Amino acid sequence: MGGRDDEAFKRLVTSTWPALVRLGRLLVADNHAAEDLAQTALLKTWEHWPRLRAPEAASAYARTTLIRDASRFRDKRRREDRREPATLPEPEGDDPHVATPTQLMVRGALALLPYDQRAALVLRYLLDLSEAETAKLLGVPPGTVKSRCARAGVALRASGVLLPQGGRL
Amino acid sequence: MSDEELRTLLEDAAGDPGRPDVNGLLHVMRRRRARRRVAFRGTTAVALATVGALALTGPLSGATASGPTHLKTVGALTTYSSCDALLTDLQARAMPLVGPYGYSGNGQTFSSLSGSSVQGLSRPAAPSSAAASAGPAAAPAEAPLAHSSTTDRTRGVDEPDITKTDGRLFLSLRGGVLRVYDAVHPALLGSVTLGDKGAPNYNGHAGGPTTPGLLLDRSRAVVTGLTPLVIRQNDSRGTTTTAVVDLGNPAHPTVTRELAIDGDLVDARLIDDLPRLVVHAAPPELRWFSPADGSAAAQAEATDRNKQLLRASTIADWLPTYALTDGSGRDLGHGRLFDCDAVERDTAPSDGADLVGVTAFDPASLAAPTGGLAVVGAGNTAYAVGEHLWIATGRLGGGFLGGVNCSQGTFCPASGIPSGTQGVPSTQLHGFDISDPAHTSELASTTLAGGLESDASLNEANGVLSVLLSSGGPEPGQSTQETTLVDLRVAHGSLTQLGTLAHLSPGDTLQSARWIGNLAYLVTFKAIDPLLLIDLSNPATPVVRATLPSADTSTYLLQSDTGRLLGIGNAGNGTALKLYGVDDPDSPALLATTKLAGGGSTVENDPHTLLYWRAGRLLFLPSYDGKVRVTTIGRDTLTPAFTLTQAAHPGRASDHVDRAVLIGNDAWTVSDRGVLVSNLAGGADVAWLPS
Repeated sequence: MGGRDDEAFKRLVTSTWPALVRLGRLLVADNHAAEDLAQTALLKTWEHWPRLRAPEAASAYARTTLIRDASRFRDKRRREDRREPATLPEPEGDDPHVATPTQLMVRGALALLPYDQRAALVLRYLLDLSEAETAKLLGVPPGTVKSRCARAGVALRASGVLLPQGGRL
Repeated sequence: MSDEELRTLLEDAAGDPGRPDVNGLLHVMRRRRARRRVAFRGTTAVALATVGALALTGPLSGATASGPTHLKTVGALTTYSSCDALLTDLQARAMPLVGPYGYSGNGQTFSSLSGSSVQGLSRPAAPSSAAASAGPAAAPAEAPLAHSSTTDRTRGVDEPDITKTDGRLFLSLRGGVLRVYDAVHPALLGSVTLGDKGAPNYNGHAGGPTTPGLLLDRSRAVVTGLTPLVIRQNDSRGTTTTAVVDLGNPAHPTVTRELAIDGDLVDARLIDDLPRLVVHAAPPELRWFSPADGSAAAQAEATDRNKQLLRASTIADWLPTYALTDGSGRDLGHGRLFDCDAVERDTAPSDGADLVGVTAFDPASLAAPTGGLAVVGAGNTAYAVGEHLWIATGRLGGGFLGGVNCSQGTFCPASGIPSGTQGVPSTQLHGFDISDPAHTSELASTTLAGGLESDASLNEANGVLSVLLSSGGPEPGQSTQETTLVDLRVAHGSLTQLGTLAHLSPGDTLQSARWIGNLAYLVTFKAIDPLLLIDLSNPATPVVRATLPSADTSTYLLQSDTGRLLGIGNAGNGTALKLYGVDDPDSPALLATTKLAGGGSTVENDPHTLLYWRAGRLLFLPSYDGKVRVTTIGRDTLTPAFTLTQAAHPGRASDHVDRAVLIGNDAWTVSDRGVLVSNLAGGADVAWLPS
């Protein structure tokens, strides 16, 4: 239907997976959940494929889908169980992904941020999107993006992950 | 820290993405694609002709010795002598599944939805009302209007859906919000937010078993299948909530009950005004160990420790529980949904350590769910007819984990489906007698060789259950793919094979089925794409009466008001409609065909999106381009009538209309954007009710 085939799907998966999973990890801090989010985004993108204006739009669609799904992800464990970033446990279960202590610490610190601030920060600094692009993706005014990033920076510095060595955020 | 350093920090923290499970995803994608071709429901309201004398002898014409073996007489169930006996059996069944990380199979854990423990439920969100117009707050006092109803599989047995109406009120459940509209003078009256329990399930998969849905029962809405959006590993099981919303004052819909169940709500049915809940409980996730390193010794040690964990599990870990609270979170009762003496098992050896069962839930009373009965087994597909409710393990698993491959010689913990031999999947079938809501009793329970596509693969009439099974491997179009029809005599404690019709459309995959009277109409797809008519007058000898080759395939079949068979299928960039004359079962004929634009219809994903208004002879089909195309289904003709679109109103391009409902002289079409009310005489806008 509409020219899709298994090969195209495989290409979509292989080309967009890395960015999706990495984005997911910073948005939800749990590798297993990040992979689930990435897989879900890929499947949804595939289902939406006939309606895309161009195949190149697929990766953007997948990313947008993941961002939207991640915003609905509520990890009650983290709300109930705030810990120092350095002592966050390894994810349990069948998880071949091995993160370094630093990676875990940074992801943990991000997870302690309110989602709105975390998403703004990640979109700006991991995906390197402009304020306008970030604003559009998150559905907020550009000024809001700026203030959320600023507050995220303050919170990260307070958590000890970001060293307060000057420079602006 | 400079911008550059922050960038680097986040870049590093994101880590190595690893490799995606491309084949796993491909599998899920193919199953979903197969599912989209196999979306069939039907009403079985047509009176059934009497069945002739049955020949209960052996192999019959049409049956072949090769192909999947079916059963003679099976299905007897037995109870357990004690809780210990039940626990021991469940542990023994689960033991082979235990590996170094917990349950193994495809390396996926299946409890992807979890929440707070059943007893620690948070209070329901305070109801909010949002009257979009300045209409009166009291319930409309006028007589209800004539209206359409959900496209159910069995007429008279209502299924949960995201829209419901009784001609007085129109309810729409979207994005966690239940909105109540005045159906007589279109206006939004009130709404209530069901919190994160009301959001679509985690992967947003429409039509799956854990999609929230509504049942409308007089002045109450029963919202089934609410799940919290928490992914948590090592939690025992998901929690599914059913909420009761009182609509006595529609401007202020109020949650009056919440029933939280420790397990999956597979489906629900409204039978005689009483909701029946179908519950599945997977084997519990325990606090599994994982290997310290990659060595074989570490793996073996972890497996041993995990098996010990399983041995140490108690019956409380296994039996699904419930917690019933009122609108303020006050405990109205909690306990086991099924106690040890309400669990039965097939007397024949069977696989899997899941539990699946049925219970009745009275939304009006303070009482807990009653009369439940469970069997050891799995299921994700429900089919209710007459006094029976069948639960089967359809291959459409629903949700992200639905694509688990069960044909590799391993167990599938997600569904308890054991592997068949040489790539032949198998189907569990569990029948329940639900004539007495206070006491569900067992009918029969067994495993059949072959895969079941959906609830339309089952049809029970006059004491005979007909089952369409697919074999030859899970991939559609494999050369050994074929369809088999099996007729089984149903009695309490037994299923007796009466007749079989094998090798239907070899090489093709079953796409749709419709059961009308003594005939079964099938469409298969790949090579020949025929329409098959099968005569079931004598269940011992089902025969193919006719085969009509067709160019495109139909994923949905329905009967028109003049007795024609209408096929709906996606073809190229649109939807193909085919009208067949089937008055003479020996020579069906294609009478008319037309193609609708719009990229295809959403019916292929979920038959509830379809609206067929018999009296007006109008078919409403939402398409992927967001429009609803309305076609007149004539006696011998298919004529485009008009198109409804919400494009003039603000919203996102992805807000597709997925429901069309008829109330009075108007069509209500619903999307995330809002509700458009259009007059049927030409499609003019009557009202726009934004979300």
